[in-house]
Amino acid sequence: MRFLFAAIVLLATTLPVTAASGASRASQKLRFYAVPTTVQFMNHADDRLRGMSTNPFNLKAEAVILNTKGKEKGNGPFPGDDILYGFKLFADAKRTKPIGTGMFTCYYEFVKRATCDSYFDLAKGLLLASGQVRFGGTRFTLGITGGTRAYFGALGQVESVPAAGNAQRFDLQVTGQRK
Amino acid sequence: MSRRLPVALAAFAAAATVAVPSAPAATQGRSFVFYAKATRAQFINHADDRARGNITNPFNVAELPMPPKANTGKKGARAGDNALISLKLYSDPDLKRLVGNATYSCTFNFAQEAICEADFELSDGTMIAMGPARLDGSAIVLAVTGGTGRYKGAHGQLTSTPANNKKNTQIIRFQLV
Repeated sequence: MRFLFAAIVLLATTLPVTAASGASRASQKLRFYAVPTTVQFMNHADDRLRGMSTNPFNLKAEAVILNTKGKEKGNGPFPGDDILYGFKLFADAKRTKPIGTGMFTCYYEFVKRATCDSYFDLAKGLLLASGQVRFGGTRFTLGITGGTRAYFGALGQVESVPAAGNAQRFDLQVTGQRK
Repeated sequence: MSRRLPVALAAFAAAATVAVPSAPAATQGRSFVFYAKATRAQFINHADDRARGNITNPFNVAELPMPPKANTGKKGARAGDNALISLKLYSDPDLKRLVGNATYSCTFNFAQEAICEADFELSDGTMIAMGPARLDGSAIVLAVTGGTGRYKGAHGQLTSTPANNKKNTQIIRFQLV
């Protein structure tokens, strides 16, 4: 999947940064549009139930997860569920210029919040980002934790906002790259 | 070790298909090499969670484009499955000088690709790396995202390739900022 797309990274702006160690660090802004292509939700209800009786802790998980009839409260997602999102990435809002793929792996905790690890596979390299995403939330911010090749040593952040046509727009501020 | 260890997982540590020039094991500035030998593996098959999730989930069905071919084909390595791989780290290509351990914790997504978190435990600190991997014996490039001790604040990338003359052995090259 990674190599199916022509790769054109939209380099919206390139800004020089005066780093403490000199001018060997660069900063840039990237923007792309993501359309989900594949999604897999993993319902770990059996693992949760098993974990209530067999676990290394002294917890009363039932109070959090189960109602009086022994069923899980509401529709979830519940703690321990996870979801995988595959995205196609485009350089333009009209989604005519594919530039790569994206992948989110989100692990749900409590109150329908998930910790997500993501990567964006672009022509010049990978960018990784992680952070919290609320279930159903379309606006979130992740921290960029690293990158490879052209994004070697990358840091920064990714802001996600809704875009037209069931798409998400990702605005990346990438710092710390080797120039 | 799981009896259902998939071919993809076993191939992670398979003999080389790529010729890799021998590299010095000593630290060269911020670049260094480890030789890693896989010692244990556990594949976790979440077929039941996947099937349940396709029916009982908090989403509108129309919002969930299920992967049409992602969960077909090769046995195992399907979306949501996990693989845990333990490796011993050596500083020399003869695997004589043990310097630490590593663990790869991988969650498969689609098309037999996984996202892996790799933890390296060395005598003078630890490092963490993350990124996609196919676990089929092909080269893996992960971003190094942090560390402790001597590797506090480590940032950069690692490249893992099969050793061309040692079965179940990987050559892991770190490049740090």
